[in-house]
Amino acid sequence: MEPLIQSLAGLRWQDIVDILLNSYILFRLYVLFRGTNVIRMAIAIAMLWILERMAMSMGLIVTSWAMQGIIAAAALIIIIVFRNEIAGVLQARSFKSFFWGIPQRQIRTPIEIIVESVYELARLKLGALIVLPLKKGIETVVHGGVSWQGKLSREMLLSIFWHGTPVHDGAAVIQGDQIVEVAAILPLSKSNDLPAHFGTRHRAAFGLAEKTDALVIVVSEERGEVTVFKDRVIIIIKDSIDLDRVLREHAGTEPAANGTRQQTMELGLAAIICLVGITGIWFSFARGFETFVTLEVPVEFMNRGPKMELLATSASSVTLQLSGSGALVRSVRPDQVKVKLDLANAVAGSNQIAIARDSIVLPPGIALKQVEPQVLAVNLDVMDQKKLPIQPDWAGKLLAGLILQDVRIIPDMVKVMGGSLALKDIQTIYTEKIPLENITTDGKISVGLVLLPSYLKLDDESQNHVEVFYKIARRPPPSGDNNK
Amino acid sequence: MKIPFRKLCFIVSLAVVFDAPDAAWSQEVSVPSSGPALVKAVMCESIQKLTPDNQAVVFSIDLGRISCFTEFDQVVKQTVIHHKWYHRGNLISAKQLTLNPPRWSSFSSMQLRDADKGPWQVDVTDESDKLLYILRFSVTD
Repeated sequence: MEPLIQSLAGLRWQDIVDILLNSYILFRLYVLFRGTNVIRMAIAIAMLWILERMAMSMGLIVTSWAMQGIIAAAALIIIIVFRNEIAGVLQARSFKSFFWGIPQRQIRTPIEIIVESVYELARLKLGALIVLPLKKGIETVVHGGVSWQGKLSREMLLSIFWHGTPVHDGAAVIQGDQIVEVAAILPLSKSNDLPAHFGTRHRAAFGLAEKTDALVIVVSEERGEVTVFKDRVIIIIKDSIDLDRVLREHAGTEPAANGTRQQTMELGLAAIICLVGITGIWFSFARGFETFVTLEVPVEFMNRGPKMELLATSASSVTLQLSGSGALVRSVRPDQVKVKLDLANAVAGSNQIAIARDSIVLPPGIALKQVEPQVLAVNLDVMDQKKLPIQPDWAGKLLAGLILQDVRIIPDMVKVMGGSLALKDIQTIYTEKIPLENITTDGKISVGLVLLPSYLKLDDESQNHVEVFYKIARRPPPSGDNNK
Repeated sequence: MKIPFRKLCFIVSLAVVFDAPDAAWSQEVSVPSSGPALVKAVMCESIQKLTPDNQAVVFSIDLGRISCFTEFDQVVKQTVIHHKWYHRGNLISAKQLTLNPPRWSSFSSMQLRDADKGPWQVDVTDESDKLLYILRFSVTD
């Protein structure tokens, strides 16, 4: 209990928004697809996933793998088998209905209009086949229909089944207060138990009633009889009151208040399940068993002065110890973690800059445990330039009896750029080592310049070599006086 | 003997070049507007009879000791100068030397150790630490 309270107390407002947003998305998907086969398959997949997690936690390796395979296949099957149903749901909805409101399915079928129309058709002896789907979809068994999307009315139904119209031969499919499809071809029943006087229209109605939960009304063209087929049951309708009762039973119609209450309860329950489910998933991701990870992150230096140059730092990267749930820690990418040091208050010279918590950018749900090092030494300097004399750096041993009497360098000065503090301590630029061993007479040699520290630069990079002219003299023999 | 004017000019110009080798070759000088005038500043292997012996810009470590010789004119009163010895830019020794009127020579020396190889310079400054001259040289094997 205590860990749960701690977890709830540690929730940020972003976490609450995260949970509510995803719960709402899940709820909206339920609202859009409820009553279809897709939602039933999705619930089945969710159950399989829970079983898979349980199998995994119990160490049932093969079962867990099998479940994973079934889930993957089921997801594919849903998309392939129910593609028409998915497309129908998505196409039938307006853009607004994806985010708000209850879909049109909730509009009740005007039973009175159907009853009145059916008996008008019977009186006129116009053959008719009317399908009222319930919860199972009929898209997989009904083919060849013409999309209609017309508001249901007595005149409309009479027109559809009037002799000679192009669509009078098939079935009309009614959903809510809409005729959604006409001239639909239903699967014929292969049953031998049907009465002999039943024609093709009756056999098609029975075929659909065998395979789905839809109710099918048939109006006989010859006798003007009305027959209803539902769940392999044939109901001979005696009068309009009888038809009204059967239709209301099929639609589960109660008084309006009861229907609204049932719908509210259904949606409320769905909303609670969505909220609980998403909260559970969120906690399993964000507040699972704490896992630690250590990352080496490069340091980014920001807001240094426009003339400031970053000369050196005690470290170019820092080691961060991070914690979080296993799933989140494993998903952390190096580019999601940043260490940004603000140099706005840094001055020329050595600065000790603490790596504060707000200098570290972490992905949501990841906590910082430790930083190493906690302070960085950062050397900054203002860029400057200075004209310095050049001195040759002789090395080796001059031949005995010779004296290197004088030297001249062209050019003898060079302009050097670098940090002002570094330049302040530098009075001379030295050449590369000039070997003395091969020097016997006056001459000249071209040598490069050595710039230390390495961040010093020549103002003119082409001047990195100088000419050194030298004069050699012979050592005079020791005088007698000196020996004395 | 009659010397043509153009030839005379050439000889005079040559004399100027060779008579002031320090300024033209390796040394930097800052001539004070008043006070003692530095007339000579050289590095040498030794001082013999108050004169520099074997002036050079490269010295072997085997010599064991080298000297910096300076000569001043127009010394109107007793004053002091400094020889500041630097090895690779680091001050190793600063020696104060006294000058007496009217003309005076002075020198300072440095005992050489194996670690002293590399480029050196001696800054000659007056009593107010004004830089008069820089001598640059190297100590090698």
